[in-house]
Formats: sequence, structure tokens, C-alpha cells
Amino acid sequence: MKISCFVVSILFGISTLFAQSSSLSSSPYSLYGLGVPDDNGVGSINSLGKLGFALPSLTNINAKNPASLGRMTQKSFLFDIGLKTQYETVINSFQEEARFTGNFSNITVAFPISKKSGVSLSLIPFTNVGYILIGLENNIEGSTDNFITNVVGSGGLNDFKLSYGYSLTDKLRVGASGSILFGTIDETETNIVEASTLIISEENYYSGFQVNLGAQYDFSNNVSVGFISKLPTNLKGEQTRSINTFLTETITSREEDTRLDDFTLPLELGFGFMGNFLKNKLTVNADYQQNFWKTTDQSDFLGKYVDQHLVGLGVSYRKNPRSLKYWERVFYRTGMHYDSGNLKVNDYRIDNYSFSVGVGLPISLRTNSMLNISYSYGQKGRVSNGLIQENFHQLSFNFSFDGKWFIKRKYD
Amino acid sequence: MKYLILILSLCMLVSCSIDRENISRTVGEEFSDIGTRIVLIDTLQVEASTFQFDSIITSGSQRILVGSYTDPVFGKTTSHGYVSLLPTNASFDLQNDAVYDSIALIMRYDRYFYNDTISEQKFTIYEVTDDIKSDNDLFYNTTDFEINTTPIGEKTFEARPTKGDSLHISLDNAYGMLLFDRLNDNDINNINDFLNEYKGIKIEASDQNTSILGFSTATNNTFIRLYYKVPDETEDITYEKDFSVNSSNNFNHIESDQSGTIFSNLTAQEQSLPSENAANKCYSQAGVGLALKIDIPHVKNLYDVSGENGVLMSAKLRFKPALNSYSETLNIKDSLLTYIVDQNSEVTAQVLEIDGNPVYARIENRNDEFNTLTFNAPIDFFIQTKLRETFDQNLSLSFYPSSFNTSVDRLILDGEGSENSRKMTLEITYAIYEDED
Repeated sequence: MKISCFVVSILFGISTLFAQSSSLSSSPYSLYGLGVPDDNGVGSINSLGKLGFALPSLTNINAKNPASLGRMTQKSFLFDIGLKTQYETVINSFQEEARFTGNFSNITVAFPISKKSGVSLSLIPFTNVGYILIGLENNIEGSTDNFITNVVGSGGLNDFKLSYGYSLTDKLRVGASGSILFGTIDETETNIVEASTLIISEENYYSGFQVNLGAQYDFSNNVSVGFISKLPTNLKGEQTRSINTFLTETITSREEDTRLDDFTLPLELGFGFMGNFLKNKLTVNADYQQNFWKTTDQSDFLGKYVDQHLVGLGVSYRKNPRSLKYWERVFYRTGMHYDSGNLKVNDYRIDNYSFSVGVGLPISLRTNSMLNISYSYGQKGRVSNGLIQENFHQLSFNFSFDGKWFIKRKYD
Repeated sequence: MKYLILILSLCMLVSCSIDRENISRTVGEEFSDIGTRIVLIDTLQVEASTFQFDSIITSGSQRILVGSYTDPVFGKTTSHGYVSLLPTNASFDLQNDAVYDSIALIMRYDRYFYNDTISEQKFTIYEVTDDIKSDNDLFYNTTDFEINTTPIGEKTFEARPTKGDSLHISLDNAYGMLLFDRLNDNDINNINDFLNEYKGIKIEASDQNTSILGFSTATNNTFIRLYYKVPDETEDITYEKDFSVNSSNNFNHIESDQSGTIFSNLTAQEQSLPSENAANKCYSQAGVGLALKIDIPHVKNLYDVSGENGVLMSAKLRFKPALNSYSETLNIKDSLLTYIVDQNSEVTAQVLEIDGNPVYARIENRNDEFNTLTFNAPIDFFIQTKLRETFDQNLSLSFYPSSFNTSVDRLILDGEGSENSRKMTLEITYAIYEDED
């Protein structure tokens, strides 16, 4: 336990660096708001529709609902680290570009603190900003010449979350979590006129605290429901902007600090169902979430914010966890995710859907440690609506370790 | 533990290597909120004029400039060279049994000439009787020293400045003999002895309208050569003793007779001749010290265009040498240095690029069909300086060639009042960026 804590804290430290410095997105849509929300989850959820509010935290951490921590396997220590890579084609009415990104997607630990309660600590990218526009040409007003602009955006917000779950009764669990949301979004705009360059660099730092509440209820051993609520949150923003020019004979530099307008995250409500069938071999989950963006009364230069609907469906099959045949111990999963988007551009929502298949590969017979691999294909936006369309292939890896694995190493 | 390190390295690898793949990209432009505008402003007023330096430094120039020519615009320009001499090798001894032969001044053309070289020219050589000295070791185009009015040599010749030849001027034998005797009799044994008797020479041009020629001051290019003989069994052996230019003490006296020209009223450096009073032109003449002065009086109007969120992107001054104001013999330099001058026309700074190299106004466009040249001068330092001034310091720009102190090149520019296709113009590009959100 000691070693694992040590390792985990180092990992947290390093991941924080990663999370702040690398862009995890290559989406033009990250130009608006605070970037593209990161919908990658922890453990198996990526191939099960990405919501899963009613799922337990028994073999995989369910970071979507803190109530799940109220019923953990005793003496287990769950640890999850994720990586994702994404290949996408970005298409507008004129052209098509291929982009590739990859990065860490989460790091989470969870463990029970009593028979009836558990906690988890996680660091998950919250939003990702990663766009690059090169060679934009605009007219120099009053002339027939053009100037060239390059824009690079990067960064994003991180969610550092402490969650707690508690079993009120055998059937009812409740939970709460507090998230520190923080991060920096950088944008560097370079304008070039002949031999002169103007570079405007913005560093936008946002931070805030969000409270999540959750509950899970088991109707029977086979049927559960889950409920979550994220409370509205204001993120405070500060901007440092530097304006530098490089001319033939002169260099100028100017720096400005400003308070940015608060960015409001809306109330989010989610409801999920889970059922076990075929003697627990087959698990089905279905989830719905609504984010009440409209009430935040915010708009972006692109369009206005509208209420967002998310739907997730997942099916998981495992023949026999105790089988001696490896493939019979493997989880086979598939899922579907729909996200209506929270922004309307020219009367069209930027929606997003994806289909996933995945496997959970057990690492050893003695523990629940597992390598979860998920492949998703999806689409965001539609060229036919005059929007940018992104077709993406996403491969995510979640290494979900059970604490027995660590303990065993200790006695090696 | 092994696994964790593996994972850790994998994390790092992935995060470092993969996401830098994007190269040239424009999809998403429609979604970007770039609010930076760049505006061309060509309406700022330019005021060109001409002023006359009271004097310019002509010492240390590596060039002896001698000649005279008459210009319909600038009047008569004449340059005389003052040269002080030192023995080429440090010895003041001659061979034993030496006998005087002859003496000559040899001057190597450095290929510089101004005006037509067809006419015969005449140079006269005088001995300087003053010490060629000054308090600050500098000599000016206006500096003069006493001479012995009896010449020690003269030469009438057809100049061949571009052939790589030297001009050979025989000097008086009496002058040569005296020098020989002083050396031979050991009256002159060191540099001080020598300089006491030989302050230097003045090479004076006659004032006919000919050309002005440049000669190199390098050690083996221009020198006085004393020839002497030592008798031998069969025939005499000829020896030479050379006295070359002491380059720290040579300069050119350049004068201009501006009577009857438009510059005749420019009697002090702080005066200037606006182009509107000078046929819409402004003028520069090297050596003599006539120079351009270009002011942009309303630079701060740029703030009206942009408010606080504006920044200068470029400033280019374009000007054209007046038609028919230059030729092969009255040629034009293709680059001019940039200076800032104050309201008294004193130079306060030379403008440099960021890396420290001089800024040049260069010919950017040469149209041979219409015989037009256009100079393009980046002047962002000047504009930034004017923008930052709390009080108007009445700073102006001046442009002149690097040979301003060593030549007599003239430059006539069309000013701001010339016809549209020829007038001096200022193009400023200004970037206006958004308020912070």
C-alpha cells in the first residue's frame, strides 16, 4: 500500500504536467468556449457509451458516479491509468485534413475506507484545446496585398477530483465529489506582413470548484439505477496577453493582465440503468444526461449555447470470470454514445456520435487487474450543415489494476 | 514496479511525440475569431527639404579627392587634397655614395570619378607650411592650411580613372635635391626631423569644369618617390626612397561656389530649403554637405486610427531620383544610409537594424524603359520614436550614401509635391488588435 501510494503520487505529479502542457485535441471546435469537453472515461466506460451512472466500482472504477464507491470489494485498491490516441479527418466545404493526437486520458485511484464507504482520487482532462491554423490570408485594408496569420491554440482544463461514496442501506448508496477545475488555455497568433511580424500570445488561466452528487439504488442483484447531478459552477479567468512586434529596425513588447469574464458551467443531471442478464454474463447499461447550458445565458462568437443531451448505451459480455480458458475470462464490450452538443451555429447543433467496441483483457487469474482496450469511430458536426465535420477513430487503453497486484509485488 | 515504469515511459513517449503532426492547416478558419486587422495608411504628410552641413569630416577617408566641376544645379564644386607623408620604411638612411636623380608624386586612381573625364585636367602641387594638426585629430571639408605659394610641381593630363593606372607627377628637382641632401647629410634622422621640415603637400585642382577624381591613400598606391643612383663598376644602380601617405593626417578640402544657385541662401545648418520652394525637389551633395531632410510632422495621427490597441507593422518611405538627374558620369549610389537629425539639423543617430547592421534605403525598382529608379527606405525606428515622444522634438530623417564624406555625388529627389507617379510617398501598415475579452 505504501509503495502504491508513493507511485501514484508521483504519477499524479507527472500527469499534471502532461495535462497542462500538451494538447489532447486537434479539433477546430476547441476554438470555442474552454475547448472540447473530454468525454473519455476511466476503466471500461469508454466502450460502454461513456456514461454508465448505474455501474459499480467493483472491478473497474466508475468515475461517473461517486455513489458507486459505497460498495467496493474490501481490501482492494483500484488504480487506473488511461492513454488515448485519435486519428481524425477534419472536413469543411472546401477541403479535408488529417490530424493525429495522443495523450494521457486519466489517472485514478479508488479504495474502500470501510465496509460501507470508499474514496477515489482522480485527475482527468476536463477540456482540451488544440487547434492550429496556418497560412490564413486576410486583406491589408486599403491595399490589394494580404497578410498571413497563423494561430495555434493549446492547453485545456483539468479536473482534479476527490470522491466519496457511502452505502446508506444494502440497496441505496449515495456519494459526493469535489472537483478542482483548473488549467491554462494558450493562444498564439502570428501576423506577418513582409518582413514584419506581430505575435499576440494569450495565456488564459481558469479555475473553479465543482460539486457533484450521486446516488445508486439496486432493485435487485441484477437491476440498478443511478443518478448524478453536477452543480452549476463559475470558473474564474485571468488573462496575460503579450503583444510583440519584430520590425526591420525595432522590436516592441507590451504585456497586459486582465480579469476574464467568468465562464459558467451549467447544472447537469444524469440518470442511468444497469441490468445483469444470463447469470451475470451479460451486462447492459443505458444512460441519459442533460446539461442545462441555456440557463447559463452565455454565447460565443460562433453561436449560442443550448441545452445539451447525452445518451449512452453499453453491453458487456464475459463468459466466466473463473474459467481457465483465457478468452472466457475476457470482457467483450460494445457501446454507443450520442452528444447533441451545447452550441448552435447557424441553427445547427454541433452534435457528435460514436460507436465503440472493446475488450477487457485480464492480466492475471488471481486479481481483477485488467487492460481495457476500446476502439471508437465517430463523427462530429456535418459538412452538409455548413459546419466542420470531424470523422474520428479513437483508440483508448485503460490499465486498471487491482491493489492485490501491488501487494504481491511487495513480497517478491 | 517494472510495469509502472514502463507505463510511465509510455505516457511520456506518447505525450511528447505524437501530437505535433499538424503542418499547413486552414480548416477551422471559419470558426476562428481572429480580430486583428491590418490597415495600410498612405495619407500621412511628408515634408522634404534640403539643408547644408556647416562642415563635414573629410579626414581618414582613404581617398584623395582632387578636381573641379561645374553643375547647373549645384554650382561649382572643387576639391583639393591635403596629404602628410611618412617614409614607407622607417629608415632615413640612403646607400653610401648616393647621387640624386629625380623626384615624383605617384598617385593611383581608386576608380572614383565624378563628371565627364574628357577634358584635360591640371593639378598643381604645393608644399604645406603649417603643421597639419587639429585639436581633435579631425579635419573638415572647410579646413585649410598655409602653403608655400611656389608650386613644387604641376601636371596637365587626360584622366584615365578606371584603367587601374597611376598618375605620375614630376616634382621640382630643387625640392628633390634638398630632400636628398638632408637625408644624405643626416640632417633628417627620424620622423620628427622629417615632419619638422616636411609638413605635407597640397594637391590643388585648377578650377576649370573637368571632373573630380579619387586616388587611393594605401601605402603603395600614392607616394612621393625619390630616385637616386649609386655608381657601380659597370653601370649605376638606381635606388628609390618612398614617402607614402600618413593616412591619419590626410583630408580633402571641398568647396562649393553656390552663388546663383537655389542654395545660395542656405548659410547656416539649421536653415532648410523646403521642396515646395525648390521645384518640388530636395537635394543632396556629398563632400559639400548638402543633405536631405524629411519630416513626417503628424505621426501621432496614427493613434486616431487605432486607439490604444494599435501597433506599427511597417513604415516605408519611397522616393525617386528626379528624371535626368543622373547619368553614367553623374552616377547614383544604389543604397543610402539612414540618419535621424534634430531641429538644428544635427545628426543625433544613425538608424540600425535589430541585428546592428546599418539600415539602407535601397533601390527596389529600376525601370530602364522609363528611366526611373525608386528607393525604398524602412523607417519604423523613426516612426516609433515619434510615436513615443512626449514633446515634439522636431526630429527628421536624412539619407545619404556611405561615401558622403569621401565623394561629391549628388542626388536630386522628387519631393512630396511632385506629380503622383513620381512623388515621395509614405506607406504605413498598422495592426489593430482586439480588446481583451
